[in-house]
Amino acid sequence: MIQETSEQIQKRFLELNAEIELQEIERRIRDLVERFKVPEAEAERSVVSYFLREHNLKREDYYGAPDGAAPIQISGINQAEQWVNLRAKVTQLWDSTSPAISQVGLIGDETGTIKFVKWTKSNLPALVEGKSYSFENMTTDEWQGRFSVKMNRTTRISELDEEIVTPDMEAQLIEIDNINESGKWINLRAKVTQLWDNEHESIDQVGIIGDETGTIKFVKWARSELPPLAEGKSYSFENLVTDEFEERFSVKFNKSSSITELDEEIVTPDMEAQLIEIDNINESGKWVNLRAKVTQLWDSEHESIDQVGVVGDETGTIKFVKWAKSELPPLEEGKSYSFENLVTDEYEGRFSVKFNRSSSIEGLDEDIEVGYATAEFAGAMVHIQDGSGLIRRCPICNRALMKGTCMEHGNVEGTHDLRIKAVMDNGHEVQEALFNREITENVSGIALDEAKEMAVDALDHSVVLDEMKKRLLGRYYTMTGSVLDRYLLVESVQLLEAIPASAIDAILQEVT
Amino acid sequence: MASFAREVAYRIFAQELRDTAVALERDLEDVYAPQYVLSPTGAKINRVFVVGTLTEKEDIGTDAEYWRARISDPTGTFFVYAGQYQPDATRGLADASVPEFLAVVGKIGVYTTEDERVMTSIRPETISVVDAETRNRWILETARQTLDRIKELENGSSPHLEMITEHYSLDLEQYRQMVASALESLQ
Repeated sequence: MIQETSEQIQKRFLELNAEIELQEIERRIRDLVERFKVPEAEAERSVVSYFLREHNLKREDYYGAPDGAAPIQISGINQAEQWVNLRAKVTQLWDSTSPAISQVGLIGDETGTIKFVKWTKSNLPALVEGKSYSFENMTTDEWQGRFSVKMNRTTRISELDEEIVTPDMEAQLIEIDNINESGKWINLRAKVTQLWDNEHESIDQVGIIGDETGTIKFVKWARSELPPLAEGKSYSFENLVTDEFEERFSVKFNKSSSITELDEEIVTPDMEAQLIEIDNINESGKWVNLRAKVTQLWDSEHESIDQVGVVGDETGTIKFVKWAKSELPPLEEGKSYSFENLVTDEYEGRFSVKFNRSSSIEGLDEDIEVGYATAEFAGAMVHIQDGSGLIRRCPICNRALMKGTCMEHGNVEGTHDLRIKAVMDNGHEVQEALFNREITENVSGIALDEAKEMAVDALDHSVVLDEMKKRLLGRYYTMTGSVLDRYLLVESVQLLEAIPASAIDAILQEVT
Repeated sequence: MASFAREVAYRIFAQELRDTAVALERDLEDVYAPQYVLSPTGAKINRVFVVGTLTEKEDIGTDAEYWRARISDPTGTFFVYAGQYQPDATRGLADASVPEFLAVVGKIGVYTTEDERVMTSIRPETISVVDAETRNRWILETARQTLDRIKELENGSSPHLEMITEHYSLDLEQYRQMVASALESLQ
């Protein structure tokens, strides 16, 4: 088979006036198939490409001309910096966040919706929500894997007589317990059981609503311009959209949502707080009591937050947030307390507890011993975060310097250190892992002195990080360490090497 | 509140990725909601981790570097493009030669052809040259995770069973064969 293929390749190249030795073709194909486990057709293609380049020939010469087509529907937009034409309906207009932008929002066609940005400089006519247009000469853009279109001076817009149909979204009245899909338009009859402080100006209100069957988080965007909700009141809500994150659902209000207050009161399920251990917190929106010690107080990053940090009990530690408006006494680092009526929350798969107005805090005489959970993780290193490699630390407080500056002590002469902030992934879970200098030196084979020399030679610190990425990314490691918030503080790490033949056989037996 | 949880990198063979033809609808309210695709064995994927052999690479950029690479595992092949906006991936590809083993972490890109077929590609975040041991471990791991997904579909415990039945023929035998042939290539 390989021999026949090789002969065909040789013959085709001869037709193009290129002479190649048959054995050379065969050797290359065999290497790809046998050592690199590449399918035969792919090996053939790879070898043909190689010889095309060797003989300065074009792919078209060998295979015939290629054909290309430009996407003209929204779902076909998959590349930035392309010029596109679309026929689409303006489904949403948002508030512009910058004077450079005259309009921003979503346009949609039969295949989907996409964000658009219309520059003020473009001098284009104003778009009206709900109307359909033909857009010509827009450019595509991409940010963090999501596409948008930009309307500029060369863009042409003309209104269409027909209406472009966008994906269906008729809302239905359902019960909260039945919400099990994201992206659905729904109506609810529910009571606002909690209002939280929002952490972002784009959010008008956020909290929990509940009906007879359960409770769910809601988010009301500032731009949806809806009347304010009051805690404890019951409403009929129309045209909310469900969302899902890590299998937890929420509902979101938008411009087409409506809110009507109800005369009756909706009864929500009981939510009496129970004393639990931190390690057992595995659900958000639960009311809990804790007996725990404040192990860390962090700097609050927002005036709505009074205190933020970590509390711990014998079973583990958890982040807490104490809102300014909950008006509770200050917590001291190192002191143990009894906490009542906290609400659990979840973000990025990690839990926290939040204090609210009905929470209470009582100091304990005893000293709670905090247990740090240790964990083990095996997986591939899929990312190394910024701030890894050769870094400098503040000689006073040991913080990592940012652009040569300590956040606390300003411009200081930093001392060099090595660390890696890695993201490990086993196909089911992601784990961030922090390697200190010793672990970093072991795993990368680059000692601190060597790293400093590399940086001096290249006149650039980033060569160390680049080299570490080259040596570590894509490899499998197993590691153990203690858990602190979202990090595994790695105490030992090992490269996973050859797999045993028995492991292959075991799965093969299951397959067949 | 916007969420920025990192998406898990799924292990998937090239053949299954090629057959993937269902792009899940994105949250209309949140333009930064991640794009997911649903694979024939029921993986809801935004990011992948794949290891394969570099079989072709070409700098097709006009001004700046823009690499097109073909990467092959025992079951098939996929394309990867990397330019100035993927510095780690671009550096990795520039360093690699044909044939070498590459580990690729990337997001799934989706586009629909004129005849409304959904096609996928990988937009790489990082690319690194790895050794045969890493490749073998990836094949073993991908075989394990693919087989687990097949079994979930067969015993009805997959959360995406309904959509899979709607969009794909539930002929799972071809994917069992795929897993078997990938494992046999290691023997």
